[in-house]
Amino acid sequence: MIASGLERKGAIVAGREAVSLRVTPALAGLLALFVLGLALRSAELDRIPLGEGEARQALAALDLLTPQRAVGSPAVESPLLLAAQTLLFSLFGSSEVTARLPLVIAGALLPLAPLALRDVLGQGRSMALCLLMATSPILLMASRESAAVVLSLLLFVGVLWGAQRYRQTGEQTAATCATAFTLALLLLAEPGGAVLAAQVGLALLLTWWSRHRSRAPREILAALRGSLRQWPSAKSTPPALLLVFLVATLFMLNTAGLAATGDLLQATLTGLVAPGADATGLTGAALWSTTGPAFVTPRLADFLARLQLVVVFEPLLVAAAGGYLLLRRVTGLSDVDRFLVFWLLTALLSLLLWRAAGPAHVLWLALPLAGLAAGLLTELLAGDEARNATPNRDVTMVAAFSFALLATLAFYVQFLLRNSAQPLVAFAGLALLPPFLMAGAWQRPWPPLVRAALLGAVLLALPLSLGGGWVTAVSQSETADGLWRRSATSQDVWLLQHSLRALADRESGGFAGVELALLNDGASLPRWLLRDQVNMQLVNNVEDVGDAGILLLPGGAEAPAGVGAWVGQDFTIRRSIAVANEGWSAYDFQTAGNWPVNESAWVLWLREDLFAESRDNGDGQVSAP
Amino acid sequence: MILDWLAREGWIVLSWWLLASLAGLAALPLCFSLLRALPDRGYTLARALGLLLSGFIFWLGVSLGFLSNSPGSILLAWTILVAASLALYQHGGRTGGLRAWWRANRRFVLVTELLFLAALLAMAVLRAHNNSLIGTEKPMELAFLSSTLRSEVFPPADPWLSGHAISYYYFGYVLLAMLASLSGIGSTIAFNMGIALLFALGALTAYGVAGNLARSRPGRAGWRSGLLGAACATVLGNWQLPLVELPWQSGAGSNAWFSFWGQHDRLAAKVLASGAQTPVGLPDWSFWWWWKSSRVLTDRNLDGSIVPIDVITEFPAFSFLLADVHPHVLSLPFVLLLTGLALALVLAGRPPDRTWSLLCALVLGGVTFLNTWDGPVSLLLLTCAEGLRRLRGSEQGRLKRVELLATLGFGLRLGLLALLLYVPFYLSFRSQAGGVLPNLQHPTQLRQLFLVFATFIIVLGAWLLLEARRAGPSLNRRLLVGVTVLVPLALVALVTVMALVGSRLPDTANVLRGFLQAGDSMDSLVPALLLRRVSGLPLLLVLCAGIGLVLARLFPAGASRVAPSVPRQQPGALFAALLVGIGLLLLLAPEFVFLRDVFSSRSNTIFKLYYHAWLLFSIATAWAAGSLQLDAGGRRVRVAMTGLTVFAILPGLLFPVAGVYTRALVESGRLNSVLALPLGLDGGPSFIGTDDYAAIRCLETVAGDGQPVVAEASGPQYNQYFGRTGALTGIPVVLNWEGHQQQWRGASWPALRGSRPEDLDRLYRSQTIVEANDIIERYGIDYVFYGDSERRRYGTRGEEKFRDHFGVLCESAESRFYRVAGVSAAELGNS
Repeated sequence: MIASGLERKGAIVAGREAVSLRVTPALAGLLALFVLGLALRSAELDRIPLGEGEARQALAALDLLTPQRAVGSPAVESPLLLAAQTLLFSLFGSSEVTARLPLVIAGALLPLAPLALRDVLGQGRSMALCLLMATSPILLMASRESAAVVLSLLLFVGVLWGAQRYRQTGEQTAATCATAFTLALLLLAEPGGAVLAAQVGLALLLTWWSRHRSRAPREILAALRGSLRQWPSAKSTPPALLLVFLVATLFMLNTAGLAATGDLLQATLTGLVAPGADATGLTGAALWSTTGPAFVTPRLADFLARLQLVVVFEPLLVAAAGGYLLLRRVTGLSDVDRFLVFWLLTALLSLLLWRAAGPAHVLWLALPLAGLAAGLLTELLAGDEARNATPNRDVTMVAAFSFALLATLAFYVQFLLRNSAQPLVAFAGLALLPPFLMAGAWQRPWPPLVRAALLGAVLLALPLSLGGGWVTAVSQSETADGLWRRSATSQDVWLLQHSLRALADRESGGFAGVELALLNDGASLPRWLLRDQVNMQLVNNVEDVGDAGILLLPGGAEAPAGVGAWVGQDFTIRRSIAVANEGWSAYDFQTAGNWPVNESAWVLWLREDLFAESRDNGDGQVSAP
Repeated sequence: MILDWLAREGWIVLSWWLLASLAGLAALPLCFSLLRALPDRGYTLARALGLLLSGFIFWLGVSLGFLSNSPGSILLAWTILVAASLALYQHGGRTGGLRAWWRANRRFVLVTELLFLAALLAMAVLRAHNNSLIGTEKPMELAFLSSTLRSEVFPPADPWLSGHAISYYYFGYVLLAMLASLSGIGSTIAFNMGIALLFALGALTAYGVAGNLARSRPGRAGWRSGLLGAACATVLGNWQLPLVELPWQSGAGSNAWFSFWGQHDRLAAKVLASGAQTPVGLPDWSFWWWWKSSRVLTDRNLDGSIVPIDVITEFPAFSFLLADVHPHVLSLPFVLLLTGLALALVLAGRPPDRTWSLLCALVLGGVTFLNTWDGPVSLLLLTCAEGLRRLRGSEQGRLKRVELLATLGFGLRLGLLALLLYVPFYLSFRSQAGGVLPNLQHPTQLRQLFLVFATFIIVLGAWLLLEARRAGPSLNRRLLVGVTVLVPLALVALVTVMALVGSRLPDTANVLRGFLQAGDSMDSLVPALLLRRVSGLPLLLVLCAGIGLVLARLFPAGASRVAPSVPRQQPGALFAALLVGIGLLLLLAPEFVFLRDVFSSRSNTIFKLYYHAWLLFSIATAWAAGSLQLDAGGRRVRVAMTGLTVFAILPGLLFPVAGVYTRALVESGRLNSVLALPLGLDGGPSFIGTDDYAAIRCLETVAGDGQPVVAEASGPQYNQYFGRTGALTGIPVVLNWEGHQQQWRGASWPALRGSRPEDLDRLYRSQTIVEANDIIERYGIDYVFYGDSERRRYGTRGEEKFRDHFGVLCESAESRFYRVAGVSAAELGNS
């Protein structure tokens, strides 16, 4: 993808092909997008505790590296993510950052992925799509939250790339890549991978049908069958299968990893009838399900919540896609447009039928919407070149300046929105500037004002959109100096870990080896938080704690009776990045701040003798309630 | 009542139907590609094949550590099968259009689907009427099923010998556990649904093989023959009921009559509980009267005494009525599937390629893993089918040496490949089999054999004679006479040698020594042994004549090569003859040899070989009945032959009718409303006492995953009141059913046993926790069960130490599980 910006200059030097690289503005822009995406996604990664699903996934990777402390075999949502996390944990240790890093990188790469399809989409549209995806708040949040749907979308783009590449060049490698990406999408990415493949497959079929609908169905089927037969599956499938097998088993280091692909299939199927296992964080933004009318069934409520999420966070995409379709009513839709429309429809159907779809799966809608919106952006930028007197360089400079100015304004708008009594007035006042600025720069033909206004609105909305995601996903977004701290998680998590460290200083010579019992209620997050405690014992019953003097129990559980008195300290682990049903837009949401929708309460119990020592020494954070 | 049950549990039947059908769909492209020689292109075999192949992938994956024992892994195995099946269909095997296939097979397919659904539902209804999991070896089978469902790895943990894996052919339990796991039901329901599925699958596969066999003859619709084959293989009974049981129960038979049939236990007149000897109706027949039909043969020792171990003459209809999920029942559909593969091989006419051989090896290995006894016979069948295929293609009507060697090579390759594919099983399997022993003193009486196989003897005997007549000059009379006369003579000579040698073998000599008079040498028994053989000569002659007829038909005389009118080209007839021939060989074999096992009798050998022969005869009978109707010459003869067939079959159908009535209504108490329990498939609640059951279910919930060890009192065989935690949950107990453990583990048992029984006694009897703790640590016991059986055996004093030192994990009235994990060293020291 990035290589698209590299230009080769052929010169044979000493029998070898010399390649010189030239950084084009496009390449620089893309690199900037990637770096920006990475920076935005990696800020404060470790400040927010892992969600239950994230913790389960990360624990599975950790258990692979330290099998001696493994308890049971937690179900893995994404074997591919497991492989990446295992690799990162083995290199950099286990932390919230390393657990989330694979999806952060994937999330930063995904906006660049459309460039791989520029032969199909066109140069301008693919660039516009990159820009729209780079500023998508849902993609930003999903990649920060380790939502594996990002992986499946990346693989899906890979499939499209391989297929069209094979169609153009006939290269076997491209076919193998496409097959490998398809298999990985189905078996390695996430439970929704197969659903994504199904919806895109159906959309492709409908596109095919719409293109050939004048022909008899039998002819269409025959043509389709002929087209499928041309695919070199005999040659491409074995290496692709081998690759999938190797990744699933971590290159045979974890043979049982293949079972995770089966679990993934199971989750795909059960998702048709039951909600997904994890409902925290972004994936817990079930707006309608809790407050909706009585006649709304849970399935419908979830579906409406997903729709609401798109409208709230991606109004730009919705509006631009709608505008583009209205515009295209006159000139007609291209094949790509038809495919995107069909994909949008099949994605809607998938969200309705597949109950395990979490809110992160609204990316299924966001992507085709972005594709259509990119069409509008391209239309706005395109024009009668003969009447455009402005030199390209000047346009680029003005555009860059305008964008920087708009971005600054956008952040300022957010500041005003939070503090101003009349945010809409402030917003309207600021919004008047960009259209005229852009109109002056571009000098487009009739109707220049409308066109410029639209373009300006889109360009203003881009950083606003990004800002919406940023503020939502990053809890300390306004304190730029504290964004990339390493050791901080939420306050109670920090307190809990600090208390245990203090106990370790006294009980086990500073090593994280205190005799600690954790009640196994099926939650993975406490196990993850106590992962460094080498002498942690997981018990199924409070009575089984044995000699352990330190217990971590869920809020409702009582310390064991009959083995002395206990002193407990409450810890409430909050995740406050999800939205609540408090507003109609991302801007409103920003004014309302972050809403804790997911809490888990735990009590750290100390046996009285240990507590007495702790109190006498004045260390630790434990105090009698 | 049934509608009410369907409303409650109909979804279970539906889900198993759906799962079996999905397995069939997965294998369908493969069948269409590889079994295209069959008229239905393998449609009727697809369900059994799909289930076996997906089971193989799943089992192998779990055994090698690639997969886990979870629904997800089962789905993955199924997906792999679908992918492989489609790939095979796409790249090689695609022939003909689906539309043309549908037009040609529409009726056959519709009957297939109706039969499968009806059979599944019918057996489920029967089991819902009588869902008992008590008696015979059901507790053991339930324990294996529960353990297979629970175990994280394969081979599954032995639920009755903690710390060790099952040493048994457990593939059938894997197949059932797969369906149970996917449908989300427990083992106590899966047990009964398993019987229903095996019945339906057996009927379906038999229908498929017999139907395809009939359709190999141009113009035959095949579904009637298919249904007859299915009926013979699954519901037909032997003639013990009409000839012995009915006269005895009704008081109509005389002692002379019962003596003639050798039914010694029917010599005394039936006495009712009231003391009267009046004839009674079916509801008043003796308890479990139907059991007698599986114990028809009587082996007598040299001194005239009856061998104490019953000779088992079980047949499929009996198995389904008894409803034990034993390996011979688990393998039934798959033995029939393999017979279908053999038919496809014969009909194909072209040599089997690698894919074909691999498929055969997979099924052969699977059948061996399901029920090891069926392996060698199945291999023999496939090898003979390959020989028959070559014979059909031979211009000379005989096999040259090269072809013979190639056929043997095919069998050898197949056997080795089957062994290799299932090697993880053999690595963990310890058999009780210790070679082969000669059968010196127990020849079978022809009339007793008739009681077992009367239907087949009549129909197949008539058909063989018809075939001999139709063959005319092409019948190889020299071969016929040679086999009929010379083989028995050779066998008698063999017996003489065996008697001489056998009297010197330690195992047989020990048995024979008991019959010696004081001062006599072992050689003095030889004349008596030979004399005993003479009484079995009629059977020998009949079996050899049958085999002779088959061979004379398969290898025609020279005249046939110039007489094209002779219908030797009918591959169906040749295949049916092959089935009859192999079946007769299976009946002949235990007259001379039997497998050496812990019983040192031929009981198991007769049981397994006769059972397999029954299935082969069932398929052949379906062909023979059609042939008797079509090829028997004039109309009158045809009518007579049809009448003969009906006469042979009808008495056999008395058994399922009377048996189902007794099992479903009389034994369950529903006839007289003694029990008003609603219908249900879950046999768990009635398995043991209510409190024990509740406590065990509680443990299952609380213990979660993992593999804890439970201490329970060890009990005698066939008693469900011991080892019940293992049976119901699959959580291993320290020891149970020691006799069966000995059977399963053969020579390795003494070392494995150690002092387990004594230790368990000490655990419960000791008065101090210190002594108990020693045993607890030795076996890694996590929970101690004190329920009804323990209280009866050890009283209440043994429980006090547990009550004083351990917490109660689960409790229902007086049944308690004590958790031993929390005992501290200090506490033990104080004690």
